[in-house]
Amino acid sequence: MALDAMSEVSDEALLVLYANGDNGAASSLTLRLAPRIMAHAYRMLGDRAEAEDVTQEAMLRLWKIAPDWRQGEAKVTTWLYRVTANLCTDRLRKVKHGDLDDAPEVPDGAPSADQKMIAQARADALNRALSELPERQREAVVLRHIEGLTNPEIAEVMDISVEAVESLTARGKRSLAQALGKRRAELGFYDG
Amino acid sequence: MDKRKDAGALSEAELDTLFRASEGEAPLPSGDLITRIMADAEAEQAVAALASSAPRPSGLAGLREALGGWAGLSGLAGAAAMGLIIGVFPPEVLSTYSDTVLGISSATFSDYVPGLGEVQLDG
Repeated sequence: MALDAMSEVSDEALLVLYANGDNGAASSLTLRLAPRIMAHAYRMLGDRAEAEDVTQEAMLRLWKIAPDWRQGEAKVTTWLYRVTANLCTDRLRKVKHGDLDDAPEVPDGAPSADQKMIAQARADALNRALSELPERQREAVVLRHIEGLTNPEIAEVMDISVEAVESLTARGKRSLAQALGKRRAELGFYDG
Repeated sequence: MDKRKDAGALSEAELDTLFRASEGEAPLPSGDLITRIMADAEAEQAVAALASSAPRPSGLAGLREALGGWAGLSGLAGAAAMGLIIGVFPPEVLSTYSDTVLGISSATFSDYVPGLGEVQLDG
């Protein structure tokens, strides 16, 4: 099937096509899902090379499960986020995180008038603050406020209740707001 | 979260601004990563195709494999033949057969436990 024709096909249907030997389905799934997995892994790990390894491993697990995929039980993206989160957790446990030297650096000096520079500085500051959150809070906040998943979807990914998701995101946001509040001017936020 | 609930903390709106800024800032997969993922996909497809096209034994061959090959089949045949013999022939014939052909005479339990008869008699 041509790639253009697959833009409207669901992830699950593409996975079935892939399992039936359709190479185009593999391309579509890769282009559709790999960037999301990569972004999530990067936000969890703060390291591009590690995030790439996790992305490849998560996609490999998707290819392996394709022939046995049980339709209608879970969304492909939910399953993938779950696999990605587990892979990230494994890596974070192996290499004790919290080393700020590994976090993206925020440019020093006064905020630039260039909007792109400010946006970059804000994203970098957020990533650094996220990396200091407890792992579960970070995962919940990233999934909810950056990846845009719903609370029930996050509950499924993290295997916890919706109430627990709400608690994790609330605590995570409170910590972020306090940590980043100290750099208000640097981030282009001014009182008044 | 209340707006500016904590002194100095960012407001909800300010935090949202940071989240939006972060959405487009994550690195995209490199071309090399996409190539590796696609290579994995093709390799797994080939493995699955090979597994599904491998010939499965059918008929008697399939039965033989299910029973553990020739060794399992011969053991099953022997057990079946012995069961048939025991079922068809009366006990007297089997006794004669064991005496004359196999050289096993009829024995009682006390034959294998010397002294058991005496104990019972004494008791």
